[in-house]
Amino acid sequence: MKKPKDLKRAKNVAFIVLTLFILFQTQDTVKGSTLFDLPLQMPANVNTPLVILQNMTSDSTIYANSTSARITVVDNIADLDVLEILNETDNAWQLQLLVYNDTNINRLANCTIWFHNGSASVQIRITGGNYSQMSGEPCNLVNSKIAITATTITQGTSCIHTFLKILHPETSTYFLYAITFEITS
Amino acid sequence: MNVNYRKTLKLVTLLASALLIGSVSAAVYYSLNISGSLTTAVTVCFDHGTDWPSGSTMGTGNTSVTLALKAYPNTTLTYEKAVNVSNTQAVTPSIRLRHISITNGTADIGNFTFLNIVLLDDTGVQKGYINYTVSGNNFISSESTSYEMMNANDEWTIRIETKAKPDATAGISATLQMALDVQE
Repeated sequence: MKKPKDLKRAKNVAFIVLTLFILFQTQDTVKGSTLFDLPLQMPANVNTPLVILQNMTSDSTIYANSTSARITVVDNIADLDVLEILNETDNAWQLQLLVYNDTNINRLANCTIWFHNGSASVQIRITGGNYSQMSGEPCNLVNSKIAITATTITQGTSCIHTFLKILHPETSTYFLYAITFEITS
Repeated sequence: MNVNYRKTLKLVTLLASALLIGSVSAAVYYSLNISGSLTTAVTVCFDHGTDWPSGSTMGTGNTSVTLALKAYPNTTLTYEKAVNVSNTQAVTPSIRLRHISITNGTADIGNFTFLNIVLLDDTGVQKGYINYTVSGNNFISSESTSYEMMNANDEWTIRIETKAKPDATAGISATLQMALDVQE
């Protein structure tokens, strides 16, 4: 018995459709991209400090290379110069103090830390155990000293941990020197 | 045996067609593969930052850079915008920082505390960093940041922080080799 012609044609069509389906399914989509790298070389050199700290009280400590300090003062002192900041270059610098941590400051009735070189630039102020100022305006490094006034409510030891930010004017390049102020009974 | 020549002929024709289709496809792929256009236009390049370290040099076409970094004892030195990364085209490439090597990294490395290389976008958001910290006399760091996409005509920046040990000796040096990978 002969197969009907339509059936045969349908089989052929189905075969072609199946073949095309397989062909399209096995196609891969390839996405191209360009990769290149830009070399970045960074020689880093250790240098001697451009600005150094100098002690102005006998109880304080200036650490190695004169770039960090622990200033110790007794309770209830007024207008005491504790640190001198010396420019070892001809460059102009700006100074700013920034508080980054503290301990036991609630016993401080009043504590003010400022730069002075004739005029005063208050950087840190604590009143009644709370900060009313944690940093000040940048001021020029010209014969600059740091002075402190502190009165206390109770006995104990308070510490104010700060960074002395030394900024190159008209840039955002800066140094951070760690300076701790310790006020103790 | 009764051979159906007509069916055999059909089968052979089918196989030949399949081979033809396959080879044509392969030829097309091959053709696509080798006909990709090459361009020398630079999409991403370096540019001087406002804190460009003195003594640094920019390579030809701003496609390489040598940054002369300084480090000071017990001092964090920050170059907020040491070098900028500019997307000069209206495309959106992805970039990353990749560590390659440290040379002259001998016993002297112990004089450093850290070198931090930070990638920031045009709004100041951190897009990745590689921190080199010191362990004994060796630097340790991650290998690379992840790829981050730049918008058209964006200008990003690289911030660098350095610090040496409190008793570090002046004159000690190390050279970092890194790459800014660009994927388009």
